[in-house]
This record gives sequence, C-alpha cells and structure tokens, in this order.
Amino acid sequence: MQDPHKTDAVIIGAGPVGLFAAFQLGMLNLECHIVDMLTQVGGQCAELYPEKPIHDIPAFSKISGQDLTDRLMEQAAPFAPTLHLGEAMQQIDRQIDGDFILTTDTGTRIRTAAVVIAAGGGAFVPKRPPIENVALFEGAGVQYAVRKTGDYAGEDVVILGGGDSAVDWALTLTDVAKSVTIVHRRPKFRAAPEALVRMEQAAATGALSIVIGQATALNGPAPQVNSLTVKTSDGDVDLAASRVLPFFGLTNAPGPLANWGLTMEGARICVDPETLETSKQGIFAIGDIALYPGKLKLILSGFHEASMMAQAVHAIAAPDERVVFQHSTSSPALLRKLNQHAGLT
Amino acid sequence: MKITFKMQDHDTKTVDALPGQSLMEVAIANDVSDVIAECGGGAICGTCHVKICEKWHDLVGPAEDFEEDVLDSIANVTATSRLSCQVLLGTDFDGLEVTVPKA
Repeated sequence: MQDPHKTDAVIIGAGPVGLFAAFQLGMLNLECHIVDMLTQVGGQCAELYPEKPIHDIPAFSKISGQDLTDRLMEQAAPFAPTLHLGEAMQQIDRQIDGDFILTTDTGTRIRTAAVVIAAGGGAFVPKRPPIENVALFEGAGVQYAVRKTGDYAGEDVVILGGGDSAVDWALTLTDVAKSVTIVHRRPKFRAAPEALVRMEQAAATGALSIVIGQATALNGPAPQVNSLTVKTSDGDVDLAASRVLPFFGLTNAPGPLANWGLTMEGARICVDPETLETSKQGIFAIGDIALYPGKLKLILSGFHEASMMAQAVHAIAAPDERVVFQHSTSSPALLRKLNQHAGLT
Repeated sequence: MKITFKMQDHDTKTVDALPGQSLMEVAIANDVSDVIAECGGGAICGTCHVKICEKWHDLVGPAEDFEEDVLDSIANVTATSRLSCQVLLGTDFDGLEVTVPKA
C-alpha cells in the first residue's frame, strides 16, 4: 500500500465554510487537504443554488453561490490546499501517536493531526420519491441513475419528475426501451425549450407517454416492479413498469460520518463552541453540521467557527509553536505567501 | 394576528404571529409538530409542507416555480400545497388556517 499523504488537517466538505477553513489554517501556517464527494467545490451553494443570490455575507449586498465559491477559492489559493474531489470519506483510524489515517472510497489515504468536518447538511443523495415502500425496490426496480442505456432494452420504463434530467432521460431511453412513460405532478415541465419540443413530438407519435399525477405505490414482488400506481385527476391508474427512475434532484443525508461515534443530536454533531472540537479529541466540526447552544446555520457563523477551529488545531498540529495573533493586514508570513502566489518574489 | 395550524390528528393550534414573519417561523416558534424545516427556510428540503385552507388560498397565492420543484418530490401534495417557509404573512392574513400533513 502506498504511503499516505501527510498533512496538518483534513477538511471534509469543500463548501464555503470548508474553503474558508483552508484559508484560516493557512494563516496559522498549517497545511490542509480538502475532501468532497462532489466533483466540484462549493458544496450546497454551488450544487443546489449556484445562481441564487445570498444576501447575508458581510460586505456583499448580494452574491451568488458560485461567485462566493470562486472568491473563497481565490482567497485560499496562496496556501495551496490539496483537493480530493469526487471522493467520499470512508474510514477513520486513530494511530498510537494521536494522528489519524483517513481513507476515501477511491483509496486515497491521508495521515493528519486533525480532522475538520465541514459537511453542511451531510452527504448528497438522490431524493426519494414520496412512495412509502420505495426502499424495498431500490437497486432493482427503482434506480436513481442511468449507467448504461442498454440495460433498459425491452423494459417498460417509467420516469418520475419534470426537470431537465427527467425529460432528457425520457427522450434518450425511447430509443432502447419497450415503452417510456414520464409521470409528473403538474403539466408544466422545467427543461430546455428544445427538449420540451422533442418531448411533445415524441408524445404525439406515441414514442413516449406523459401522465400527469403523483406516483403513490410500487407493485410487484419486491425488489422487482410490475406496475406503478399513479393518482391522477381521473382517479388511480396502474402503469406497466419494470424500471422506475425517479429524478427529483439531490438532498442531504447524514452519510458515513454518523457512524464515527461522535456525540450527535439528530444529524448534527455536538461541539465545544470555544474550540469547535467534537466529543473526540482532534476531530472538529464547523458550519451547518456543528451544533452548540445558540448555533445559527449561517455561512457567516461557519466562517467564524473556522477561525476558532484553526487556533485549536494549531495547538494539536504545531504544539511547540507559539501562536501570535496577527491581523491579515500586517502578518509578515501571510504577506510573503501572498506575494509568492502573485509571483512578486 | 392569529394563525391556526390543523394537525393530522385533528388537534389544532391557534397562535400569535406578526406580519412579515414566514409561516414556517411561526410554526417552529410554536412547536407545531411535523413542520421540521430542515434546511432552515431555503426552499430546498420540503419538510415544512402545509396546505392552505381553500378560502385563504387566493389571498396567500400560488407557489413559485422553484418552490413547485421541491413540492414535486414530497408526498400528498394538493393544489393548495405550499412550503411554509415561502409564505410571508401579510397584514391581512389574520385568521389564516392551514393544514399540516404528517411529516
């Protein structure tokens, strides 16, 4: 096995708070790696609402999630955090000397003095359709992603949802599937105009069917599906279905962090508000996932927590080095790094 | 002003509210069970679903597109369903009644 990377801190989550944590650690001369299961930085801000303006970032009357992410990346760049994107944290092992070795699902191993959980609402998972026993069918009759279109040859495919993914996959699968039906709660679909035209044409020629209503039950010897019951304005209808593909976007779930033995309240991790340390020494939690009396789920509060955390991590990662509190305007170490980054030295 | 939440178990709760508050804030402040608001008012999670009682529906108004997208992914949605985090109380909302579906 390859030797693990070595660093002072591993930040789990590349959302705004995780990115700012890299900056604050850098200010104290600490190195870090950032791991995120998404393939892009920005977390929820970039994934769920890149275009939505955020109005409560100090000094910005409004800024989009994407702009905020870009600026935080630029701010952290002088400290060159190592990014591991598209990787989910899988395992944490404490070493005798107090360090941790973290392993991701792609096999990346990192040895670190401190772990900083900045995982926001948790891991991103596909939203389940509002059908009671859907879990029984997942992986067989119900699938949340199309891996190979060939897998749908000869199948009665029912797609749930009315957004881009639902419409695009419905059109694509008409080429291979025995039948394709798209079920949406309301007549209005939200997809590219060109895709909507193609969908209407396909419906007119009978290549696909559109049903307006809400899926209420999956029928079949689970995990196989034989049919899907849909509540429409004309009453319940049963649609022939061997594959049901729900496309309702992503949501947050606690993910594997819930099994790390940290003291939690619901899906949130309890921390000491002075250090942001969790119930386990060396593991910290900041941002929306952290919980302490009076905690506010604001990006602003996450930034503050990142700065508090950095001080506490310094005591662990560089115990022999004294921290002299410095303002960013006058820190010689920071100015040197910033100048190097700008190519001025 | 007064707002009435009708629960699934036929229990009702009538509480005080102020214009400008969101219906979700009022529900959370008064421990209305089944209004969870996991995302804190971002119209993302769909855990603050309420149904506006018929006679109030026109005044409260319909959901916007981004809100409809979230409603698509939750159960038992009707024509008067709203995410309570997106309903801001107007000065003329005194007496508003909403039903809270089981979370």
